[in-house]
Amino acid sequence: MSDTKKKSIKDILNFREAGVLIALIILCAVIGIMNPVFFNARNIIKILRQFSAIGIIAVGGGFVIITGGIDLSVGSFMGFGAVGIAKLISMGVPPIVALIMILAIAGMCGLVSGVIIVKVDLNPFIVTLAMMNIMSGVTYLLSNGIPIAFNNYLNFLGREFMTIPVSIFVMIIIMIIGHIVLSKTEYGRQVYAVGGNAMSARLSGINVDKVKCSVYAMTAVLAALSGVITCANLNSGDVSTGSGYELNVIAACAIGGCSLSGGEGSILGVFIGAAILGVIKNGFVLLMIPASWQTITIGIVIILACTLDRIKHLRSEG
Amino acid sequence: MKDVILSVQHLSKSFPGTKVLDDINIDFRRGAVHAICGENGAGKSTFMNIIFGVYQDYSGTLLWEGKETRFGSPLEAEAAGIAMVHQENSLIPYLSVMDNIFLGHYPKKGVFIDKKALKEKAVKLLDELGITGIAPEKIVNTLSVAQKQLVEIIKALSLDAKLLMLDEPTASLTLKETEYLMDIIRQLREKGVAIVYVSHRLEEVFEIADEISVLRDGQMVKHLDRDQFNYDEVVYHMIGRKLQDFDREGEDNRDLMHSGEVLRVESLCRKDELRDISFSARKGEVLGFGGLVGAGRSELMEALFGFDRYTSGKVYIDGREVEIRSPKQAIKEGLALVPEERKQKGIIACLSVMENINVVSYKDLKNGRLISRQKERRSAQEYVGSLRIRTSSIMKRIGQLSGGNQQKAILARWLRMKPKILILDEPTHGIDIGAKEDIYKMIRSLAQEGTTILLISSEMGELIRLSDRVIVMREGEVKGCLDKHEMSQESIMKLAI
Repeated sequence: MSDTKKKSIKDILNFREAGVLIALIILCAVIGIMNPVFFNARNIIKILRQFSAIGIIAVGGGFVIITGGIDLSVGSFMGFGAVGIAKLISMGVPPIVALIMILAIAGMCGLVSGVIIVKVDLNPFIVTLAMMNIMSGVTYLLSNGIPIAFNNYLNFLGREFMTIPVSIFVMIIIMIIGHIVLSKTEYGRQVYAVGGNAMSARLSGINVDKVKCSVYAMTAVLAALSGVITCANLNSGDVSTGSGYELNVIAACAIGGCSLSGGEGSILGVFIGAAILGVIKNGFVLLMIPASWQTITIGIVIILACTLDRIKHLRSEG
Repeated sequence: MKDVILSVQHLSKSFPGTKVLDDINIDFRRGAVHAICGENGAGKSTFMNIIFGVYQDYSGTLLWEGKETRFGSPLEAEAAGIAMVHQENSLIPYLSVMDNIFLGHYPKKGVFIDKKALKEKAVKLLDELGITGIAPEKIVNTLSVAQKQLVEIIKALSLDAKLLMLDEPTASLTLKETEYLMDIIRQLREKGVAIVYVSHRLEEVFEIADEISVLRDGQMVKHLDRDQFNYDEVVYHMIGRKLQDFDREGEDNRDLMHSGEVLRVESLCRKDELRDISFSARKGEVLGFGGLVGAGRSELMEALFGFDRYTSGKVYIDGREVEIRSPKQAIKEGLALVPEERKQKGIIACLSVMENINVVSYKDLKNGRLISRQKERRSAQEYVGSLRIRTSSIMKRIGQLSGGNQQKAILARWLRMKPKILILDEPTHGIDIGAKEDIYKMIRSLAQEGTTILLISSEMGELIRLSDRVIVMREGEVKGCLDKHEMSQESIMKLAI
């Protein structure tokens, strides 16, 4: 009896994400002790809302990284989502139709990235870098750089429901779906297999090209959705929405234990990674530390997290 | 007795949960070939990695030229005069042969690489060893597996090593190339180099070795000098039991004439690699494919399996014409392929044993749309048990298992599918005797159950023992087909060269 109990405690401490989770808890504890406001329900909700934009995209980003790829275009897709939907609605398209159109267009463009990556066999870094430029150009063309007002029933996406921002619900729902798909479906196993060894995956009857294309399309859709939510929150579609987010998304995935060489990672890890970024940002504001220290700290955290992961890896390999 | 260059004393090493090496004592002498035999997982690789400075956390002593040493890294070991030829390819694919050989110790003019000297030195090395057909400028990626292996050996030799460790150096070499390597090893022995030789091919070991140490489950169980060599005894100590004599009696009477044709291939072509290949295979037949490395056998199988598409020709399965355009489709048609290059095309190293076994068959392991944890565990557990895959847990990363156990897991992956036609490309490549026997038994019982097996093997003995018929290929063409009573090393070789 006590033996099984002991084992379960050990198992809990041994799961892959334990390291970053403990880091997150320590981080919260330190900030909370220095400024108890941190633990206020309002503040916690604020943190969640702040990182929900990154969190939603990072689910897709995690899939991409686990297949051994990378997506630099998510920030631009986010901007495209924000400006695109505002523009369509301003042209008289019904909001719900506009939403579907924007997500579909983003999905198609993400699919184009994927198809180029698999069929022309180009490096995903290059292809998504190109797509990042193309999408931000398109976004600028749509708006001429001027924010477009956004006032319609879709604004509820940026509002609160039972005092909790809707974006948090969206993030949690997407995280849960992502987690189930990745860990409990055949498609999820295929994602890991493709990232682990694409050649073996193909010889095992997996349509490697299809899996790779799908993750880029999915990520583009999630990025555009995140852009729409931001737009709804700000009441306007702004070109600058999402700029720089691609690196935050990659950082969240890396901190959360996704191996950039593919085959490893989890949505739980990605969530914790995004949470760590959110907590650092919020904590530094509460502790009134200058913003420049935020980015320095985030840089250090990325290196620490990956180093710890690496050490754990080496140990288990012996 | 020649003088000892490296003395290993009371060496032990543990990985979390398992003791891999247990109180090993062994001496290596200058100018002697010391063979280390043992099954997969016996601890041979770990042992060599310790000597080569890959692992530092062991207990015991290494006396290198009489002085106590603990190499902090392979670089330190190399500097001291130890070279190692790895089992798996460690060459850099997009660099030339000479760059690969001298990487890390380039001849230089100031800060620049002395290209002229580089080439001269490479040519000299190749000449010394009498190696023709590998130009120093050639990009490694374009070489055959065997040629890569030779480059790997040359690379180790370029360091003027005092102790040379060879881990399965002949696994991918042809007979001729192996003889060649034997000559090279003899030359080195003359020069006073101490050689550690690990191979599963006992004939080779008996030919070249001056002494043999047998490792089993991390312990040094037997040491034999040349005059004590005895095949049965070595095998007995390696596997800890007597080997059953393999007999096909009774099986020769198997009447395949009346069993139906499962596979027929007509005039299959692919660019210049495969020319006009036709053959057929019956239900329950083991159809062997003989030939030299590079004869197009693997290419044929990959084309059949849809990994590379064939340009023309027809394939019939159960009398129905099929066009196989992808492995996915091949699997649907009841084909399975265990590829030759286990690391590149077989295992998914960062995933668990369980996931590697189940990767083809998740369709059958679901409850509704989601994968059932219980079913996938049970499936893996079943095959780990029945194929005797040695692993501490099904959740262990497959990359951490020994080669033989990895191969069994890959076999399990396909056996789960109950294929109609099982293609095995060098299934015992780099695998120890115990695991080999397990695989032979499995092949026979599958054939008896009615699976058609296409078997590529470069080991003649294996091919002759297992096959009902052997098709011999050369330069992408079928050169002949031998029946059971026509098969012999000579008859196969005649067609192959």
